[in-house]
Amino acid sequence: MEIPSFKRIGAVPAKLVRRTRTKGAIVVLCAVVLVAGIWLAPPRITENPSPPKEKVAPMIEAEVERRAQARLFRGLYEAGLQALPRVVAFHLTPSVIGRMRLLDDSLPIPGRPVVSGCGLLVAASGVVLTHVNALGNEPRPLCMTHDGSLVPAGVVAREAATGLVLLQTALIDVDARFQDGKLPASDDIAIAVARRGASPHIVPVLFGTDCVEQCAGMSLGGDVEPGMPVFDLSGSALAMIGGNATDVIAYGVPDAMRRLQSLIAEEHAFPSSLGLVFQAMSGALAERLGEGALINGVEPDGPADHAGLRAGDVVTSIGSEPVRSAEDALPLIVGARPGTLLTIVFRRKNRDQTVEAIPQPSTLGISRSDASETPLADAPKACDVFSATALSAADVDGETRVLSIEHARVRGPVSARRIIARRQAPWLVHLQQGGERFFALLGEAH
Amino acid sequence: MNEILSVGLILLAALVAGHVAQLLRIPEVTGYLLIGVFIGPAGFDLISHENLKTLAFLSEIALGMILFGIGSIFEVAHFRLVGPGVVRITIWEGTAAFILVTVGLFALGQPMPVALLLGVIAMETAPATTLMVLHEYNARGPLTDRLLALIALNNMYVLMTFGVVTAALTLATYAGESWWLLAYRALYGLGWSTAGSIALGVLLGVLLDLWAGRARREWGEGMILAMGFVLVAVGAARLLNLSPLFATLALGATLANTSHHGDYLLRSLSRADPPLYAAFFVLAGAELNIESVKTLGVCGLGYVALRSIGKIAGARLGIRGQNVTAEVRRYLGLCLLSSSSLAIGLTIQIRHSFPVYAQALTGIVLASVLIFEIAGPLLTRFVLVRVGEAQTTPQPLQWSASKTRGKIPRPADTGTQASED
Repeated sequence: MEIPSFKRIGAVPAKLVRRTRTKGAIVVLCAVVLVAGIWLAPPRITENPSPPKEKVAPMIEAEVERRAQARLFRGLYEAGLQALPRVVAFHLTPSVIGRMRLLDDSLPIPGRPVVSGCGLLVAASGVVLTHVNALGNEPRPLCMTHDGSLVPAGVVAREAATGLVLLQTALIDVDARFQDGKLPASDDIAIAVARRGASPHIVPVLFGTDCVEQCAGMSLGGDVEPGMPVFDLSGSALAMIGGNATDVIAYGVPDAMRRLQSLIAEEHAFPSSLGLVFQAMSGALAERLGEGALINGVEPDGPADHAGLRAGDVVTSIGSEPVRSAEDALPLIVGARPGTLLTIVFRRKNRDQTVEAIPQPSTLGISRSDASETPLADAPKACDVFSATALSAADVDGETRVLSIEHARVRGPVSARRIIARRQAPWLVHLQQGGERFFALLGEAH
Repeated sequence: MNEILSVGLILLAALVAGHVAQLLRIPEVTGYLLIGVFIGPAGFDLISHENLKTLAFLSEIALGMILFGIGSIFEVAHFRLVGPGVVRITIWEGTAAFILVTVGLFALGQPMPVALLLGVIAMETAPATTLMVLHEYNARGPLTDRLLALIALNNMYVLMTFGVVTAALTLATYAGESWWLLAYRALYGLGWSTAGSIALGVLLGVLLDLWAGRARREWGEGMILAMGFVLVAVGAARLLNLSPLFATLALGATLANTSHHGDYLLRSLSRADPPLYAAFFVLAGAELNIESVKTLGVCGLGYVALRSIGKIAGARLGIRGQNVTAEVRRYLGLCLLSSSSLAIGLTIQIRHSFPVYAQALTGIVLASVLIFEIAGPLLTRFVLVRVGEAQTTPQPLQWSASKTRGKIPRPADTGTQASED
């Protein structure tokens, strides 16, 4: 291979340069124009810079979740509206409200009836299923229906074990789909519905294995309460909420109805009753009277009345079962078969006595008889009404009357003054306010 | 259908369409366009939108080669003879179409920016279609001579006017940025797309000439070299945000004026023309949207009429005082009515730059391109036959710019060609 000489190699560029001198200038000029153009380019316009991908994905997910939740909420609300005609609200009568205000005067004076709870209209004939805790111890509550009217209702059956209650209201003309469903499997979402006037109060719930759980952060009105019916999203009634505020239990509607109807068929629809009204005790009252169930009232001509029991007696045993409180006494009486003999041990003036009584079916359902009154503490607020002057009159004011002091019947101001003078304060006083009676431990008025 | 199959179908369809067009005595390019419409998405959908999208590069390559050929007409000695007159015609016909369309559409209720942009698009004359007809009928004469220079100058004029109008609109629709930055951006766009494209074309032209001097003079090597540089010019122009049209024109013009190898390179390149051009026109036909004609409306009809009037009257006014026959003077404008890829290209650019106006404008442009693209070649053929510049034997798919140029007598009949020195 021939190796080119340096002379030849050098000659080529020289010739090339001569020939392309003009062209070289053109090339340089063009290159300068291009470089200058690139260098002088203005900044590019970035239109709506999009966020980086790693930020976009969570944003999309959050948006999808938000929309799904919004759709779910809309579905729940529409299902609630669909179910609302079957939901009735129970209203407390003025007497109950007055008693509550006596215990806690911070309660507002209601301009209209106060809702105690709700129930489920199970048939167009006006039969309502609810739980005993939704009635506020009111045997004849008023029901607010879908059209806002208040109709009277009466208890026709009560299941002692579950607290489920069947009421008969005056006929309610309601155009609702009376369809009940079975309790769903776990983790199914449903809605507990309460009535607040014409608007629903909807609480989404999840069915667990033996209870319902309120869906956290999803309430459309408040919390689940006993007496609230539970519906599925198609509007079928599934369950009735029972238990209490901390331990919520759902009872299947068809099952509960079957049990209550069988009670009626077996004539156990109305629980056994002795015709007693108990009062729960606490604080100084409980210390003074000791363990047992304090009798607040005795139904005239009832089994207890015939056995000789009186208001102020403390029942300590029923049918050989010890009674430590009113809560212990109730199931023993309600659970006893009507017509069987019950041995009752009670304490009167610190002496134990024994009587026998035959419980009868209570035609008043869960009337005040055998019901535990709302616990009365020491009723310090009530003390104020017992000024010395007022006590001497034994008629405190137009509404509150003193029935007895230290088991001694008060017939007038003189007898009241005599009793007070004989005994040291505090005195066990039986009062009547409106239609309600209760015991209270009262001291000297300041 | 895959792309390779669709390319094969396009070529065979083009061949059949060419023969049918000859039988019907219509320009072959019309045949290609019509067969494109038939097999395209608007017809039997043998070539889908996806195929058109993936084969768009074929059209770009073919357009680059066409403009490379046109650029080689801009030989200084040649241009000196017809140049001043052609420049005057270009300015007259372009400006008349611009003003008439702008004012007319504004009067018909279009917003001023839309009317202005449509005015610019109306100025355009399709280079490829016109050139194809000229070569098919082997046209020679003063009209053909002017037409060749006209279509090149017209496209340069359109691009520059488009730059000015978009710069003005950008300044008018000032928003957000500082005013001077906006002005700079507008002026830079105008300067860069012209000066930068020309610089790129000239630079590549000089390099091509240098390389051609060292290459073997075989048609195969010449074709590879020329095609390679055309593709580099188109691709680099796209990369640098320049005008591929300007760049390839400048490449051709540089080669014609500074090189001894221009004729050899163009002749070598012409061997690759037929399949590319056939594909180009069939694809152009397939992209025509028949449906758009239905939505033409009053504004669309006004655009078609005003553009035609502007082009014909402008050409007639521009050619005044030139040494041509009365028939050439009368019919030159009819040859300038073709409208094609540049119009669609500008519309796409408007859609990016001014999306607010694109909606009103796109329908009118697409429908009018369909009308002008079909009518344009027929009118050009009619004129060529009428003025007696069409030869009797058409030569489909066998042309090159250099070959045509060699056969066209100079208006002043100077005899020798500058490129053959």
